[in-house]
Amino acid sequence: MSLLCLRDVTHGFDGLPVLAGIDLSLEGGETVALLGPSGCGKTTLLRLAAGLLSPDSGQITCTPRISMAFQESRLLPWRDCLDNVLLGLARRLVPGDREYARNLLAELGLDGFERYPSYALSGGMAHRTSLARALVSRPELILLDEPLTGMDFFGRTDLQDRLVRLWHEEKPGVLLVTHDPDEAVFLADRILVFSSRPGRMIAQIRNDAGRPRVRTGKTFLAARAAILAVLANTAAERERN
Amino acid sequence: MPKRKTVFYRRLSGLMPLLLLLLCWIYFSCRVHNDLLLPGPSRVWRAGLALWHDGRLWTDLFVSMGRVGLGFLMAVTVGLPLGLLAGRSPGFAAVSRDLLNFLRQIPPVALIPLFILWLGLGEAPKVLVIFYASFFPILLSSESGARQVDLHLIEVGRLYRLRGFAMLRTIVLPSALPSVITGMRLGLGYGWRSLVIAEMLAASRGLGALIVEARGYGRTDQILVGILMIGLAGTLLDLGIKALERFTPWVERGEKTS
Repeated sequence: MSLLCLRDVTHGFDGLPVLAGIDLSLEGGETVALLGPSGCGKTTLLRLAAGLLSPDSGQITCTPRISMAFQESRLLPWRDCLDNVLLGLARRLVPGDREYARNLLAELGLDGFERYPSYALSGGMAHRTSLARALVSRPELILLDEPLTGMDFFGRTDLQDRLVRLWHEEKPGVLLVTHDPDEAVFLADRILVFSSRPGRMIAQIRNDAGRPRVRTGKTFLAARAAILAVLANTAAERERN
Repeated sequence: MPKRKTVFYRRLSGLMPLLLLLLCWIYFSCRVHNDLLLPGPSRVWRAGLALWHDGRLWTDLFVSMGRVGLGFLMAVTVGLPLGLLAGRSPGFAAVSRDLLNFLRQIPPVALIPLFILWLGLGEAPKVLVIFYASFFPILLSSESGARQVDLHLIEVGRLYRLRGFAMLRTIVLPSALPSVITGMRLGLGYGWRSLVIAEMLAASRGLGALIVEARGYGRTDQILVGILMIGLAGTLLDLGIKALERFTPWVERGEKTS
């Protein structure tokens, strides 16, 4: 049973087609990256998967144990850091929940910030908090919408390392939207390249680089080169047409 | 954040016009030199002390405050939930809009004769007038606050399966809180002013009644005591509500919510 399965999904806004004929399935423990230019419908695809939108046509089946981190951190400013994370449990708290949420915050580098007012967090810290909120329910499937965008290089790579470490334990399925090829290669087992509007899947690249991945390793660089080649190809094709 | 000292001087500068008003009062009362037309501050002060000592001032203040507190609480209890509901439910807003707009146009004072006719001369008509006066600002501010909730946060709520009351309590009410507090400030102000009018028309106790009675005896000094107390108590009530803004610290910082 796939965690997520999209069959011939099409969606548009006000007659403007955004996604056309998307087929996608995602297995447990697998990390899939959606890579493509801005406005190609990647975010729409995530929102469809999360059930926040209904598709114009096509079928979507998805595990109920799903969670999502948005592009913006979207914290509730009236709650502190920890209480924002606990919102992600979507149920009455039981003993151990707080402890787990605290640990999660610590794992994401926010040790000691549990009671910090969320409106006063820096952008990067707010992002980490929203990631913790998405992870706290130990979902089977995690949707990440460019969660590391806007962070500096050090913050981004640090957080990527931490995420990989967390996922190594819990082994969730992850669907990740990004427009950073490095991030896709570092995090994902499979990379789906999207065309610009209406978004179609134009290439699927298996990433066989082993784990733990080293950003300067040979297989890592090879996978990165493969992606860049595909992107260059599509750009060239677009020129020709 | 301005320096402490700057804040202090700004506060102080707010007192300057008040001081100026006091000087004008002293000047004109000396010129007029007629205690029926305009008694001076010292005379008013003595009248106030006398009223205080025989317990009258204290009782009137207490009675007025009690009425306004009760009517205001009722207005919050009814207006806040209705406002949130109207802000989030287009159906409810459509049904209620015309009726509420119609009622809103009627000044509470115009209803006092009817209230007295129906409810007699007891506490009920006065409390009802306060309720009526504070209700609409609270309702309208709650509604606009609830309507302006960040859709991003609503989506977060939907993602975590918040529905109905849980969504209202977790996302909508806190988002609308700054607007609700503004509505409460306005509502309390309206209520306070209507109360005094109601007391002037039909009451034997309360600050409004104090003024009417003083007029009967030709005690302009007591009238001024009443007026000053109304202004002072209203200011204190407003400060009390304004203090609620402490609970929305994220607003002052001007930080984005997403």
